[in-house]
Amino acid sequence: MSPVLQQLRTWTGIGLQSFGGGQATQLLVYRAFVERQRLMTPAEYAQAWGMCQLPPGINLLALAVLIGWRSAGGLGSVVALAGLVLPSAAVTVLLTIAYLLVSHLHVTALALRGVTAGVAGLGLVMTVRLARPPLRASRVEGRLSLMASIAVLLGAFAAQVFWRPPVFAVLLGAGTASTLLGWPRRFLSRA
Amino acid sequence: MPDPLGLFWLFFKATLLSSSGLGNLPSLHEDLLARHWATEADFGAALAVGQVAPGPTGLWVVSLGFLIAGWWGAVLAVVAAVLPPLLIVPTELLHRRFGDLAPIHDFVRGLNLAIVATFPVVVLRLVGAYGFDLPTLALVAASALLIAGGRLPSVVVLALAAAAGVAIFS
Repeated sequence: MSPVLQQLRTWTGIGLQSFGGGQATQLLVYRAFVERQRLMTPAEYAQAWGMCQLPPGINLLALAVLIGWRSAGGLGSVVALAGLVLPSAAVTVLLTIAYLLVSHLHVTALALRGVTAGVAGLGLVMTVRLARPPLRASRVEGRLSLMASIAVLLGAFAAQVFWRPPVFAVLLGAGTASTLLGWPRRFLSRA
Repeated sequence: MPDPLGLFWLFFKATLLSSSGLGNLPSLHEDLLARHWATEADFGAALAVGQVAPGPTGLWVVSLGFLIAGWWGAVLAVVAAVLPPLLIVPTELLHRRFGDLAPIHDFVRGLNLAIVATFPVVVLRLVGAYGFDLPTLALVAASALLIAGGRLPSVVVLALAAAAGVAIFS
């Protein structure tokens, strides 16, 4: 099978089967490309996933583009992306239609209130999970770096709760603050 | 129906400013509610559908797009979601050359931390839409504990939360 067709087939399968969100999807990607097809070593996968944190948007879509690109060039990345997104998006729309069919029922409003609380719980878990890697990396770099990261994290939270600036301003401010706060550490480590 | 170009721009901007699947939530929440193009209930439903549907959770925006503007909304949301991740190709090339530069490394970490900080803010606003009563807070805490425990898939926890919602709030 040509690498392009292989990419299309694998990603479409992942797009249709990966019920359970991003972590379920990642597990299927790892099993397909690292364990079954052996297109990448575990270390290459980890490096690719780290790289996918950099561009904006959904990291898993970037991972599809990257794996497709490395194995079959530009066409490979397009079919990988389409294979992952189109089936998932189609099922998403069908589920939304199903929701609209029952949305006028009183019981739906109650269930949605429960789900909203559940999503809020999920948000709290995601906060902890996402905060861990950057904080752990900072701790390895030393106390100054850890304190800088905690300050940026709390500052970004406080700014949004108390002043409600545009999200863009928060991101730019946090990036700039992190760069400036990192300066003494970089200076000391060079000295 | 909202102006399609304006809607696309809001989705695209939210994706450009995000670094994960739910990272686009704060920007969309702010912009769409301010324009009255979406309601809190639309966000709740779209986020729940995104959890249940296969694929990356970030595709919850497809559901939101559909709720706002039907099929066109869904298509606009898909296009807005897939374009920014294509930047991974130039990113890989640039990262090979400059990724080790400390100021760039620190700037990217600051961005990541700010995205993390938006999650509890959204949690506060989602819960706040219904009020901070004891049953709701208990449901939030129970869901968080079950998801963090890792034994149950998040879809199952959300289904339990829905059932609990019907039982508690009726």
